[in-house]
Amino acid sequence: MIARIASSLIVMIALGFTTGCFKISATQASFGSSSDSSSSPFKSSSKSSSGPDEEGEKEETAYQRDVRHYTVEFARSAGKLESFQRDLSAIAEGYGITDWERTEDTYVAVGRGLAESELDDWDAKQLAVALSNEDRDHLALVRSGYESRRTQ
Amino acid sequence: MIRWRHRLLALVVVLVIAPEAPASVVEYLYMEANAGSSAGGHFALKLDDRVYDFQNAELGTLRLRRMDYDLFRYLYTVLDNRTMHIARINVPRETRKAIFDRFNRRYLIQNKQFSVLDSLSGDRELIRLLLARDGRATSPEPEWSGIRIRGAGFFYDGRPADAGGESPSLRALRDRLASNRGQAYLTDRIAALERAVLSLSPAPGAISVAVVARDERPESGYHFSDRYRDLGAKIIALRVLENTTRIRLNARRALSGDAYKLGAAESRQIRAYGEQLEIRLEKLIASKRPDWGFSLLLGMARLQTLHESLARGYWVVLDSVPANPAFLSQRAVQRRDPFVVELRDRAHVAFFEARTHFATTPEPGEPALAWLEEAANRYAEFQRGFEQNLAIPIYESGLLPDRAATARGLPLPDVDVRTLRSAATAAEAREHTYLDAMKQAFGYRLFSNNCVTEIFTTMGQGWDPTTAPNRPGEADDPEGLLDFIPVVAYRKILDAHADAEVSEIPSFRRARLEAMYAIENDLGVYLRESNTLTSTIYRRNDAEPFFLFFTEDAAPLRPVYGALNFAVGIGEMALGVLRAPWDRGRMFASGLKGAAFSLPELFFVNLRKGILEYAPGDTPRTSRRPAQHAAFES
Repeated sequence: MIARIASSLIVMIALGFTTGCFKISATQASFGSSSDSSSSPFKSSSKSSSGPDEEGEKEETAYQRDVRHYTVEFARSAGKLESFQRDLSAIAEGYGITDWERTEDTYVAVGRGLAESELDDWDAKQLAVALSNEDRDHLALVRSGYESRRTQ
Repeated sequence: MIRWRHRLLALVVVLVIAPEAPASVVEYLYMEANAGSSAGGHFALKLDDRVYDFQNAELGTLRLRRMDYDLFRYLYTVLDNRTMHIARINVPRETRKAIFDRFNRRYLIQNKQFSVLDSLSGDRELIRLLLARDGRATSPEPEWSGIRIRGAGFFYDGRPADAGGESPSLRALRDRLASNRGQAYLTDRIAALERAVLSLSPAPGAISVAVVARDERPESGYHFSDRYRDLGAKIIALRVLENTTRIRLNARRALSGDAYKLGAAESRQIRAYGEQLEIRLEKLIASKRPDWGFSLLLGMARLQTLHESLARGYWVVLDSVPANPAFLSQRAVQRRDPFVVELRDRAHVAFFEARTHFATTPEPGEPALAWLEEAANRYAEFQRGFEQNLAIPIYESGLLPDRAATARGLPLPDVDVRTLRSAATAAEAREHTYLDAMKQAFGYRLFSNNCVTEIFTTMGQGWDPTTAPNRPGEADDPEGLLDFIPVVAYRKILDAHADAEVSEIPSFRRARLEAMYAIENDLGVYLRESNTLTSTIYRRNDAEPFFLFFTEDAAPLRPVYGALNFAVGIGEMALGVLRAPWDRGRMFASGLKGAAFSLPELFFVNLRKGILEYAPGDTPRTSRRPAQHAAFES
């Protein structure tokens, strides 16, 4: 054990501290994407649900989870709406979604995120209106997400 | 250093003195060392089917990565040939949820932090281009723009338009828009967007985004270059619609052959999806989000491929192969190497699965089509490669077709030279300041900010060790100087959790050797597989320096083999000196690394296991089993 640690350190230092944490090579990533049991990330997001997870979140997709978490952070940072919308686009693209406004999951998750944030009801409502672009349908979805989270 | 140790302590306390609650699990993963990029081993956390770990990233930073577990296992235990040790620990459900939230949020926040850097860099580049334009002797060309716009390449590539006239799909969409919003709607919108571009101006020097808090979403506003790109994409998209421009032939893939023939269900789904898409695109044009341009460009390109698919009776999809993929070599394709054949078969299965899903899912959405596009492209590339004996592109999954291209005829911000010069200085300063702040916050440091320390730092957020009622046993003490080393951290966790369920995933080579020893003559297997020249498991490749003997399974002979490996490294260095004028010292550096990785072997310690580019065999190539080897014995 001691010899192993010492040797690791010697090699790490000998190679100029460049041997630290693993960095995946492009070629390996490419092979990884083509091989074994890996599959497209679009595959999971194209299914309606990732199923219940350990968090007790029923039927929450990975996309919804990311949007919920990011909404919490946005609510904390009191950022600009357009900045949040661009960030949402980046998150959504990872799941094969570019038109996230036409995806109900987005607004439900935004509502859940607002409920999880430390905003009071009034501030959360103001933000919900802004995030839903004052669209009545979107706002209803945000509200449903918000209420589902608050009642848990 | 001390801070994260305290957090580890806090975590251990929280885990050990947990309140009564339904059990849940977290899994610590320790990957043994290899000669690749982590000679000290690697450390990660598994939550459900995802793995979170920190890895060296651009600009000398340490970046949180999130990865599908199966892919992670494949990369480490198969391609990187490292045995993975797993400690599964029961924790209260709330604890696990808190850990998961922290990691996932930090992942999202850090992505945002890196995107701010991209925006700042974009600002500097755009200002530089604008200055270069104004510095020209001749008057600025009205169509000049050096900025690449995502999605523009679906319709423009700098060459004359393809024959075929206007797009019927876009004509229908344009007519629908005119009917619902008026004849002048498109023209007016384009004019308004062009005016918005002209009035764009870079941020004055006073605005600063230099503070990078590790766990807070940065708010840096809407950057000059992002605004320009967003407006540019919208203008191009609306012009495409106004002119009902056809998609470039080389931007899509018209597939033929029985493998791509549309079934009745697929045709029905395409028709339904196309109708929905048309409605969505119309709504998108009226959206208030600032970046709908790319989505519209992509949607209009897809609309055309869907209609063309119906017309031809075969799948037509957007070309989603990235601009600079890696390649399976032409020789490997010509030889029909088994792994190339296997990859093609996998691509075929994946395509079948994706199209089956598209055909059967009640309402196929964007992800279903993106999945199908990706799978069709991958399989089509394999088919073409096999038919024409060409090198085959391979690339990561999860990339949307985006065809960035320099747009012609896009207006430029009307900013005077004096303002531009001032903005250029400010933009450069802002970028440097932010970069420094990023390095300060996320810079990789071997002893204090590495893949181990950051796992516990992230876990410890919000946990105050001073509030913990009891201190765990001596074995939990995280004050050791070497705690930043993965194997030490892993052992500490095992010491702290006697009830941990410990398992392992043997490396590909180890698993194959065990299987060979079970059915073949031991001596024969040993002689054949002990070296890189006759091994049937390992094939030499460019991923690591050349070496002669495997020492992982040769503990008694390790110093002898190590000496020979060391000599090989020295020999390669000597040859490298001679070849340096031609290969810029590559061989010398490889020999140096090879010799360095052989040094521990002289002292009975093995690091190098052999890195693979591909591993033959059935899926899964490696699998979990109860622990049989101590993580720190070799």
